Amino acid sequence: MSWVLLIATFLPLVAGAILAIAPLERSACRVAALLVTATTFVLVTILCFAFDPAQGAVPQFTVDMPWLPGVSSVRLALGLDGISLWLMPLTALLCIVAVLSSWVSIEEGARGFYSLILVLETGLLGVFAALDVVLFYIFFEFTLIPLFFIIGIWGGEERRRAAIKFFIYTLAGSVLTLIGLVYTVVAYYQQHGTWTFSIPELVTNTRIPVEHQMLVFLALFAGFAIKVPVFPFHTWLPLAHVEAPTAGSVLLAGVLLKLGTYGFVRFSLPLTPVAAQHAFPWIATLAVAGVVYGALCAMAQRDIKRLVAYSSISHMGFCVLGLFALNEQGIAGGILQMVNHGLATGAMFAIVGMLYDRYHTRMIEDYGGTASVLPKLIVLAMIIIFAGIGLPGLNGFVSEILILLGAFKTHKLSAALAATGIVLGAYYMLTLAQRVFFGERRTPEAEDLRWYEAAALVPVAAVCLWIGLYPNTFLKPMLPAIQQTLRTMHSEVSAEVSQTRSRAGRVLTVGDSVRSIGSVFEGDGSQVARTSTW
Amino acid sequence: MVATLTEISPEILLVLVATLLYVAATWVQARTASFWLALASLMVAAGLTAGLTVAAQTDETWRFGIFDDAFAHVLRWLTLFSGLLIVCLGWERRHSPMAGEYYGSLLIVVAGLSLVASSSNLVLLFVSLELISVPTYLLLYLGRRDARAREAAAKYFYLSILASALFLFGAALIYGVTGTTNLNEMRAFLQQPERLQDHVPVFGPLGLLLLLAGLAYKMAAVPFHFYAPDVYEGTTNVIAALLSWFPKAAGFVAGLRLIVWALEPALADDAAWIIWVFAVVTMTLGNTLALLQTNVRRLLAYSSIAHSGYILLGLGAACVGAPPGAIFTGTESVLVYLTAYLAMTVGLFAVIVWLSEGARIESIDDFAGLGRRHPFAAACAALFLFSLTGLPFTMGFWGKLAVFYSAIATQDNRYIVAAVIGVINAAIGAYYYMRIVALMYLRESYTDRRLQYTSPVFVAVLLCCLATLVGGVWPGSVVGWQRTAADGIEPRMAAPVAQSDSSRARPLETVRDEGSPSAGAHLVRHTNRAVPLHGN
Repeated sequence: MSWVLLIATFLPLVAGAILAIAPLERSACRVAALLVTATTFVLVTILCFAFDPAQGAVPQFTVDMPWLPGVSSVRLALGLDGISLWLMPLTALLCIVAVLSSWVSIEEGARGFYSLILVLETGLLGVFAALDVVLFYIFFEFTLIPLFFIIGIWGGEERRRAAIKFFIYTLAGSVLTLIGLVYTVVAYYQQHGTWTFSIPELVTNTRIPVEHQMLVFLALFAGFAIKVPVFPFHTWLPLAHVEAPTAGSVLLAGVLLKLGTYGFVRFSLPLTPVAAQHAFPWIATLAVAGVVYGALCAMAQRDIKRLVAYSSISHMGFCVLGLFALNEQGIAGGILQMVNHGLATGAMFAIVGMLYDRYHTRMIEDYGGTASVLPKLIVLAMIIIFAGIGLPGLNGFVSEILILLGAFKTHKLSAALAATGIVLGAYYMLTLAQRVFFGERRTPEAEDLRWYEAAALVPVAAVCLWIGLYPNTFLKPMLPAIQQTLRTMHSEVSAEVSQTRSRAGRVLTVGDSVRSIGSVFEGDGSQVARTSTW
Repeated sequence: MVATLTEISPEILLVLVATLLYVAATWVQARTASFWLALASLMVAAGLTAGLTVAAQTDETWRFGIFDDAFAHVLRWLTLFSGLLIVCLGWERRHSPMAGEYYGSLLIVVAGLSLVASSSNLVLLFVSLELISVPTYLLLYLGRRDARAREAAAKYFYLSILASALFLFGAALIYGVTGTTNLNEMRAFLQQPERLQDHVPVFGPLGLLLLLAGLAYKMAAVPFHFYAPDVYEGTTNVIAALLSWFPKAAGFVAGLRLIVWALEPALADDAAWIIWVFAVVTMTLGNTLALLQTNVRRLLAYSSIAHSGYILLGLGAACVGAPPGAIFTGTESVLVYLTAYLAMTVGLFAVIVWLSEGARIESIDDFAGLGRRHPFAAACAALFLFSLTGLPFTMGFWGKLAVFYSAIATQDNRYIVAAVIGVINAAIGAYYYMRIVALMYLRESYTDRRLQYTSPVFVAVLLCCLATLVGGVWPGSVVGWQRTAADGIEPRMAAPVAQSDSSRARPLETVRDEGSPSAGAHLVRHTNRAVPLHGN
């Protein structure tokens, strides 16, 4: 099956390159882009069904080829494990949504636009599939180029500023991540005497000395936290999301932000467990601040797109809180929240785009009673909104409850504070629905759901329901990978402690972290399974 | 002796043709012909080089001043490639009355860089460096004839003389310490600790500092960078392209041969310190000052200063030494970065020269709207700018990765800090490069231009594009080639044999002490000189 993964990853890039030079009309371009994204989605779905959940901890469908002649350690290595598995179909699905949501709105330069979307898709899929640090970083950085052009050329009024700010801000962070990753490779060499860039090998077998962990953690954090974005680093997000064209917002919010959280799970936690433990208080503070601040900002917005952008900050704060709770429930909830947020917010941006296509305004006060004009669209929109605010039976509920459970085990206060974010979220989203969809009718007649809009939203809504009703499909493959990550962290932390003990004859505060990580193993996977099958 | 002359036959040919052009230009009026003659002589030189590369390498030529090793050959190919590019860029001068002198000077510069790579003697090395400088003075006058151009030429001339004097003084001191001007014998002398006298610790570092100062002028490294912005601005695009590559490459190539190889046994530690300071200051100042520029050539001057900083980081890492099996050694990172730098900087200048056929390009605002008017030219320029930024799938990415990797792989705290400063600089650099990309694609055009798709300038653009992309997507094509060259300068230790899982958990200290046999030999060298990261 590994060739399926290889094709799924690089098909969009090849197609995008061909599309860029092929002399095609606009309508032909969008059909071609739709076909390519749909094919990619089918391929990725095949992989999801073929994935063996019991073996979720080890990468499956691995591709491993030498890439740099003479250097056998830098490889073209791809593969999926339980952590990255669900981010692949999320990306593939949202790329279809991106193509469909720009079906009529992109008039000029459609050829360039669709080829950039396709090239971007390879970048995003590649980040999740990469099993080699250099390859990961190449894809990680590469996503900036197509997004820069998508925002800068097809964006709104302030597109130039948004594009440059987005580019520089995220690049500045990710170059520090590069230093952290290269340092890890060198640290591995210092211990084992060999050079490797393989991600599974590095994350399980690198022990970064305790005294350097915080520095490495911060270097990695710089790039990932800006991508997420974690609270004080979020200033690029509202600008970029609002100025980007609909397809750009869908992919930015839906997938790009996940590169940051994915980086946390993939690298930060297993590589620097001690630092992650020590950092928990301030990371939790930032995450909770982001949850509350994002929600409060969202409440104050008059522009629907800005509102959704700020709600992203709030939801991603949840995600970070879950991941750094460092227990099974928290991490499982965090990873599921990535998927859920991608689906709900991605679709929400698509809906805003659909409303904008009809009425050419994004101001809440210009709308009213759209439900009577566009009943079908609004039904789908309500499902997405309910998914976003965490109504039981839909996907948002599952991940939020898992995150809160996990966070509660580690730190009760932060969980309690973060829970207010759910209440605020329900408040601003329902107010939005009430003002835009219901109430006094102020919007003129317009055509209801068109076929491409239905094709974009119905699958997303269906997946939201699926995750909400039977989350086990999605949680089962994750759990072995999460347990593996926690085991790695645990063994590293205890090894560091014993080393410190023998060396200095005293126990540092690291001991506390061992205890709290150890406590994770008291609650085994069954608890997650119980909560998630409600 | 004959072997030596055979070995430098390509350079002899180039200089002879140049002389012919100088002399003939007085009588013959066929100006365009001198362009084709220059191009043809480069082709013949390439043919000779091919013959020399294939022929068995002679071991003894170094005695007579010339190295016949992989480093010399790889650099010679790179030089010929850059010579081809620069002569193609000089296409605009084919009708000028000074065409013969112009192309002749270009050929001598090419021959000079080629000789720098193969000189095995301090005197010849100095002469080769002068072979690059002297025609450049001429070219600066030939290029433009206004007050700014005269100012630029005068500035370059006086500072260049000063730099040469510094270099000579340094060379004299090193000669005094080692008693030889032959690099091979110099290395052999310094490798014997018992023969090192008391004066070595005093005059060695002083000579090293002066040599480095002389070379820093060629590299346009801070604080010897002051001429660069004014000279670039005051001259033509073609000569600015020449200045951004030939002297700089000569500085780094001479640095590798002289400091990383010949003086390494005794002076590597001092060199690592001096170069560290040069690198950090150069990249930081270059990048921050580039932010303020609006003139294209001034901006590229500061950008080239900044890139010197990155390459210096690689040079410094080469002085510290790489651990066994490292993916990129410092020397290799310098060569990879230089190759990338050649393609992207000369490529960007080539695009500017190409665009200048239609209208002058002075301010970066002249790039506005290029994406609409000339999609191909804009795409090429964007590719070079991405490469300069260091984005993936361009050669520039591998250059940056190699430099930062080799800096961190030294496990020397100084160089790890420098790498962090380096990546922050890379992010600053992204701003002024992306500003141009944004201008090209996100703004409307002010002027219209017509472009020729058949001129040699266009060929140069295409060649640079190809090199940037192929090197970016398939780095092995370039890296493998540089590797053979780098191994001669900084011997690469074989990677230790992969260990089984059971031995993986070995604690860090034991690896340092025992290592595998091949690793051990190098670790002695390494730990003697570098401050181990976790040594204590």
